[in-house]
Amino acid sequence: MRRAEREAEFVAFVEGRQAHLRRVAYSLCGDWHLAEDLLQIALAKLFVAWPRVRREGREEAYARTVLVRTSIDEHRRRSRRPERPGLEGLDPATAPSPGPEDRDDLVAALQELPEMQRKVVVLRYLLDQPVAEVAAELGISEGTVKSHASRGIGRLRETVGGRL
Amino acid sequence: MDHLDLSDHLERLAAHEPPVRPAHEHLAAGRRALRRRRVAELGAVTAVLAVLVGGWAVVGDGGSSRATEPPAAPPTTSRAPMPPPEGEWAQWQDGAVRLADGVEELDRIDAGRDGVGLELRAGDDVRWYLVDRRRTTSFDAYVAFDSLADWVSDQTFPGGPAARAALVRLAPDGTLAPGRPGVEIIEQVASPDLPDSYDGGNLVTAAALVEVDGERTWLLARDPAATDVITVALARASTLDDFLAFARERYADGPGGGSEGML
Repeated sequence: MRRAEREAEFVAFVEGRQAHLRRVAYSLCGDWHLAEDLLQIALAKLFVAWPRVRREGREEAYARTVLVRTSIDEHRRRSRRPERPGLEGLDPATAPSPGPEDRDDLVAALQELPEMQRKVVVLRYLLDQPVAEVAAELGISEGTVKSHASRGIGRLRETVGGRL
Repeated sequence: MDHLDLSDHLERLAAHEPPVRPAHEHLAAGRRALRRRRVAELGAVTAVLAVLVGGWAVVGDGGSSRATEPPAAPPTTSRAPMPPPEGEWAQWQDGAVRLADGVEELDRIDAGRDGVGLELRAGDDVRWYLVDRRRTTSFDAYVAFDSLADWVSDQTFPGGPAARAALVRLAPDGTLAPGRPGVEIIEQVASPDLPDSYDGGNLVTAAALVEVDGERTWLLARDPAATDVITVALARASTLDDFLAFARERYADGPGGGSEGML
């Protein structure tokens, strides 16, 4: 694939899908700054893998997988190092995140779920992926996906069900 | 609550979200990641060739004293279909670093205190690991740091980020002063011309060559209210002007530049 073609395709994908992907990232982490950095990581890795991923028609699935895999690790890393907000992804000049009053109830409730439950709920319910795909993406059995999904959605209902 | 409710909810987040970045910024970050990936792969090929020529494949013990017993097989270049979980590619076990199945070592550096910094690949992913007796830390390679050495340096800075921020004090006019004994400002410039992606267009900034406990380093600081300090290895530049040129390039917006940073 020629460089110009690769870059044009990538830019078109970013322009069309980055807002949606960032909302997925925000659902996973509950912070717009971190979501922006997660998106940057995902898109950079997507660009590296672009020819193969594009050929397979998995651009968005690949980016989403990177977001999910990276989110927990990044969240932990930043939680350990709160002294340098904005410098980890070196995105110091982005707009401030909305305050607590604007924080989405559902996203806040998602952050209370255990890690795997959160991943499963985001993939299964927010992104409407089939159980088999969620299992493959997370490297767990379909039975485990169903179990996490059931528990996770149950806890969400307890927390915000009445307000949705 | 069902699938539709939640999917709709995801799109409703649009009402509260900040504006997205221009696509060309992501393209610039992608170009850099690709370039670094290629450099790493070239290094890995060179390393494998060196091992094959030497007839030895050495698996280190995680510190400065590498194991000397010769394993029989050279490093594998096969790729696992499903990479292991990101935090489990490497671990400290019985005084040595053990890699999970399907993980390939691309690079290794000493990280002090018997620790080791590793550049590892599993499937299509490349991650950096810092492993020692007390902890295992990992990070996506290439994205926010230029090299494994830079990342390890950041992770192992004595006292962590708070200690780095305490190296200097930044006055409202952009003047830097030592923040503690043992720090000397060798040369500095106030409010250097840096892209908005670093200074936000209005933050107080300064760049300097400083000596910290006898070792010199380049330093970039911003915002006196919550001082952020970045240190960059001395080898990155030969003069303060060179360092600023390096910083401008690393924080440049637009095609050909990138905003993923300079560490």
